[in-house]
This record gives sequence, structure tokens and C-alpha cells, in this order.
Amino acid sequence: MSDSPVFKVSRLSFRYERALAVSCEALSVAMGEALAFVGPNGSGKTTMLKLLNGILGPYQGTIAFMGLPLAHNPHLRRRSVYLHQHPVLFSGTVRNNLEYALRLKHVRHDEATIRLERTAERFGIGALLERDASALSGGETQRVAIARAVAAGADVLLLDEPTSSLDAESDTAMRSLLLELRRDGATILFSAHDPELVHLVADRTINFTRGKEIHHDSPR
Amino acid sequence: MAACLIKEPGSTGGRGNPTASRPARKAGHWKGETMYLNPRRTFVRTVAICAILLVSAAQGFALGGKEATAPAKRPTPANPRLRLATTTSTENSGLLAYLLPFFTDDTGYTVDVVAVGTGAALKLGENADADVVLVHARAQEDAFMAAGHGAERRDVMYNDFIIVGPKSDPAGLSHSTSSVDAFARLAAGVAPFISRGDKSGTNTKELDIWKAAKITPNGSWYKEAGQGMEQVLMMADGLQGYTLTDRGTWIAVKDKTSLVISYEGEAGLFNPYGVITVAPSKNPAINAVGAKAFLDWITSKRGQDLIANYKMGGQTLFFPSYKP
Amino acid sequence: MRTAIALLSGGDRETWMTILTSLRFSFWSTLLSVIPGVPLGAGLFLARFRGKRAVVAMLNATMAVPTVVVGLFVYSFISRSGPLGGLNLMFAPAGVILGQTMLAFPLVMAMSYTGLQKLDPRYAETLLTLGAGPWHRIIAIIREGRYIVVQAVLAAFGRVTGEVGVSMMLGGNIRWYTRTMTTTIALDASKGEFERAVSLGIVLLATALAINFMSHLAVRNVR
Repeated sequence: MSDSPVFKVSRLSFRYERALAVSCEALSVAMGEALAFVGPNGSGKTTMLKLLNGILGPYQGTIAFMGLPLAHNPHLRRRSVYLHQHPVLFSGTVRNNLEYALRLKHVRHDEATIRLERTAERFGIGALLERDASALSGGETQRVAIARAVAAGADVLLLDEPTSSLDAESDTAMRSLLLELRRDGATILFSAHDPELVHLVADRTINFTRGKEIHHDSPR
Repeated sequence: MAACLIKEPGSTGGRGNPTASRPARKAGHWKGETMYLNPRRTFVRTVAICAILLVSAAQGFALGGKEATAPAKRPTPANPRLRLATTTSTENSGLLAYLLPFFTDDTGYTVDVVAVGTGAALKLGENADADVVLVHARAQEDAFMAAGHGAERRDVMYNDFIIVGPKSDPAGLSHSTSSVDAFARLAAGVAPFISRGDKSGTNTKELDIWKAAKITPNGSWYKEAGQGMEQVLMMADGLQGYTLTDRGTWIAVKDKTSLVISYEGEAGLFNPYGVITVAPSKNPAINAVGAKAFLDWITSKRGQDLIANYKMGGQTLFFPSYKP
Repeated sequence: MRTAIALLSGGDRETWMTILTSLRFSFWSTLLSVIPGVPLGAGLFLARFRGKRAVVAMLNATMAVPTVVVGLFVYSFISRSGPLGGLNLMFAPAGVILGQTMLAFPLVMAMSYTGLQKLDPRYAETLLTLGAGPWHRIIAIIREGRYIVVQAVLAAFGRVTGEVGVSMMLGGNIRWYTRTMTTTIALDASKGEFERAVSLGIVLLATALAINFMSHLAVRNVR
């Protein structure tokens, strides 16, 4: 397997309406790593996740995904997905959602059917498949959203506060899911408020401060 | 510039207190929201269907436009659509609405009448956007022909101009000896005078009289409207002033105003019309055959008789004037 | 006033002809402006490029151009002595429809662009992150914002139905052919003949109210 990092950030700075939202001198994320972004609200965690996924811009500096710059990078959309704290599903059934995601990636029909079944099994949403997507609970929605992202082949997940708005039961379920994904080799970057979640899932932590600058702490 | 912080999980205080300081959970849970991707029967469809039905009906009606059926004996020329540019006062006199159906019956040509100011009508001829032009501004017509824009010009008819004004006649025009004299009285500025101010045939005539009277109209009494004849008459009524108008527009509008005829009848106030076919060499799209047909017809005995026959308010409006 | 109602209910052929001509022109120009206008507006909304602000500013500016100026501009092209003269669009319905389309198009595009900004940004982001191509995203965002699109369409329809500068200049107000409600009103008003003008004014007002009403229905249906 390649040693090249999944993400390599250099001298990144992003301004939103003239205010500096994110600034990062250097960051490198290896394949299979789990990285947690922590910091108070509004410190730029979400922005950073979106920047890394290429859905926010333009920015100063460079971000490389799989060794290629973000723009014109065929790997990006195939393998990396950003999930909102409250994800939005498409109207229709859960199955429709998975099918649509597969269609977007131009997966052939027979292959798509197999993948759909496999993903449903893996994420335990088989029972939800025929349910109307708008009738799901928060936890179910999140699970389906991740399933939808992974069904089409994403293994680099950028999750925005994956457990912050969940009830206790869904929270536990989500934690196991994240660990499972890690075990299967996914690279996960996520923002969180819960130090326990961070401790459980993450290899490393990045601190964001309100000053919108990523703060350097004296290393242990 | 700060570097990205890297922190080992152990450095956050290690295992510490796993049960303490768990942030409070949100009590309830949020329901999923969905993005509309699969269209179902929607409000939009209903609107669209209604619109389509409405418009189909409109199309059906619009297609059965001008005439229901063509009479059997009407000739059918190769290019039956003819475009005539004329002045607003000519169109508004109703003459063409009366005359053209006869023309269509006799020759099979449908005439599209575009009524604008004299200058614009001649410009349309110059740009070949009209096939034939009917205006009443001799000097401009001659210039048009001299510049080579027209193929053939003929006199058609004349009506006359009159000066109208308030019933009380403050400028004393009823005592005028001539149109020049009348204008001299107007220049005293006792009452407002509204000018067309738009290079129309009427305006041209007005300016000619000022020139003949050796007067340059000037002052707050002289108002240049830049509008059509009917509007100018309304203005004159509103301001209780005088204006020069063609008789046809006057007859059509007079009942809506309180004005009366202040001066009329002098030969110098006659308003001759000319018909000009646009030079075919300008543009292959010009319906030269149709234009010539119109020119011939309107100066034929048939056309000239019909012109004389047209009455408004019981009065003959136009007097045929073509002499072959 | 009574004559005005009589003209409408009595089925005066010429009056009804002008009404239907107006509707016919408005339908075609709205349709022809919406087909490119909505996707382009949506595309502009979704796109990110340098100079986007300038493009948006220019788009908003074109909405403010007076109808007579648009009419003049189109006239210079479709006049027989102009570059497109051979198409015989001048003083014909096609010419009016072309001019009105040019009026409506910037309006549709600008309204789509502005209106879609009210949508939840998560929609566009979700499509983007899942790898939807530009065309997929445009279609999806139009579907999601369909009520906004309907409003833009209705606004365009209202604008072209109520305008007179373009119709007059490019259509020539030719009886039975290119005479619309608005040009008839202008003509009648200039002649001081107000009865027919009033009856047509009533129809125009009713059309405007209907459009407004439908616009409100569209907004009310938003989730």
C-alpha cells in the first residue's frame, strides 16, 4: 500500500467574509488514521472539514488528496465524503437514497444491487430499506447517510459532530459504527465535543481555537 | 504562524475520569429531513397544465385571426402580405380601416399598417422595413425621393389643417385675415399654443407658417409636446390653449374637448398626402409588386372614389388629388 | 365603464383578439426565457469562480434596462437592413416574442439565482460531496427549489404581459396581427378613447392579480 498521505495540507488559510476562518501551516493525515477536531463552536472545525472535502473555497495554500491537488482530482469524489451534523437525505425510500448515490457514481445496475445489499447488511439498515427517508429518527438518518456515502465506495469520511445530536442509544450505536469503519480501514476525520468519543475513536487530535487559528500546543 | 497541533490522546489527561464531565445529551432526537429529488404530482404540474390549456385555446383563436374565409373570387398574389408605413393621424382618421378591406378584396393583398410619426414612417421606408409609405410632409417626401429611397411617388389626396382653440378665443383668431396673420396673433402669447414638436406632417406645416410669418416662437406660451395629435389636442383642452390640427383628428376627438375651430379654410392650410413605393433595389425582401399594386389602386378611379366617399361625422375628410 | 364590461362580455372580436395575442406572446417569450434562464440561474448559483460577483452585478443591471432600449437594440438586429433582416422578424409576432424573451431572460435568471440562495445550503453540499456532476446538481437544485422557480416564471410572465415598449417598437401595433392589450391601451389612450382601454386594463389587472395569487400559493407550499 502507498505511503503517501491521504491529506497533505500546506500553508492553508481560508477567509469567510474578510475574517480569517481557518489557518493551518501543515497537516498530514495518513491512510486509515482517525483524526478528531476539537474546539469551541465557531472555531473553524466544520470549515476545515468542508475545505478538506473540496466543497468550500477558494482558499490560499495547498490541499492535496492522495497526492493530487483537490481540484481536478479524480479520487476526491470517488473516495471522500463529508457528512453534515444533521444530514439531508433524498426524498423517497432509504433504498432510493442508496440507489441514487450509486447512480451518481455511475455504478452499473447489477453491481449496484450487490453493493446495496452488502451495505445495508454492513450498516444494519436492512429493515429500514423500504421506509420513507423523511420518517426516520435522527440516529437512523445518520446511519443511512453514512451507509449512503460508503455504498458508493467512500473510505475517507469527514464527519461533522457525528454524535452531538443523538440520544444515548443512537450515540452508542454510532460509536460502534465508527470503530467498525476504522477496523475496516476507513480514514476518518471528525469534529466532536465529547472527549470520550475522541479518546475512543481518534489517533490524534487537532485543536481549533476561537481565534480561528489552529493553536500550537507544547507537545508532550 | 502557528502550526497544526498534534496531540496524542494520552495527553488530554489520560484515562482520567471516564464517567465525569460527560457533556449533557440532547434530550429528544431530531427527525430526518429530506431533499426533494423525485418529483411527484405537484402544484407545479397543475399550474403547468392550466397554463398549457389556456394558451392552446389562445393559439386556436389567434390562428383564426383576421378573416374567417376568403371570398371565392379574390385573386391570390404570390406574396400577399404588404407592409404600409403611415402616420398616426392617418391611421386614427379611420380612412385605412375603411379603405383597405376594399383593396384586399380587389387585389388579394393583406396590408399590415404600421402607424408611427412621419419621420419614423419614412425611416422605416429607408430601412426597407416597410414596402410602401403614405405620409403628408411634402418636403420630407421630396428629400426621401431625392435620396433614392423611393421608387415612385404620387399625390393621393389632401385634407386640411385647422387652428382650434378655446371657445372664448382670447387671441382673437376669428378676426384673422390669413394663417400667417393668425400665427402672428398667437405669438402675442395671450394663450398657450401647443406644438406637436415631433417633425410630423402637422408639425412641419406649423413650422412653415411660423417661417412665413417671420416669427420664431419663443416663450412660456409655446409648448412643444412631442406627442401625437390626439394627445396634443387633449393638452390644448386642458391648458385652454390653441393648436394646429388636421381636420380628421379634430372630428374624431372634438366631442371630448371643449375647444372650437378658431381659424380654417385658407388654401395655405391644405395638407397634401403622398404615397411612395420603397425602392426594391434596397432589399430583396421588399414586396415591390404589392407596393406597386397599392400605389396603382389608391390612385385609380376606384380608390380615389372610395377616398372621397369616406365620411366622418357626416363630413368628407379627404379630397382625392391624383392627376395622372 | 359600462361599455368596458360590455366589450368584454359581449365578445367584441377585436378586443378578445388583442387579449389572446397578448397571452400568446407572453406564453412563448416566458417559455423561451425560462428554458435557458432557470438552469443558467441555478448554474450560476452553484458555480464558484473568480469574477462571479461581477457577473451577478451585470445580471442585475440588465434587469433594469428600459423596455424601449431593449426594443431598440433588437430592432437594430431584426430590421430588414439589419444583420438578421432576412428572417423577417420585424413587425411580426416572432419579432415581438424575441424582444420580450430578451426582456424576461435576465429576470428569470436573476430571480432563480437569488431565490435559490434561500435554500438550505446542505442540499447543494450533499449533492456535491456525493459526487454529482454539474448537470445533476442543476437539475436537483431546481427540483428542490421548484417553488422559487415557479415564482420566477410568474414574474417573467407578468413583466412581458404588462410591457409596451418592446411590443410597440418591434410589433408595430398592427391590427389583428401584433396588437396586444398594452399597445391597444396605449393607442386608445392616445386617442382619448378610454372605454376599450379600460376594459383591457381590467383584464390586465385581473391577470396581474392571478399571477400574484399563484405566486403566493407557490410560497405557501414551501416546506
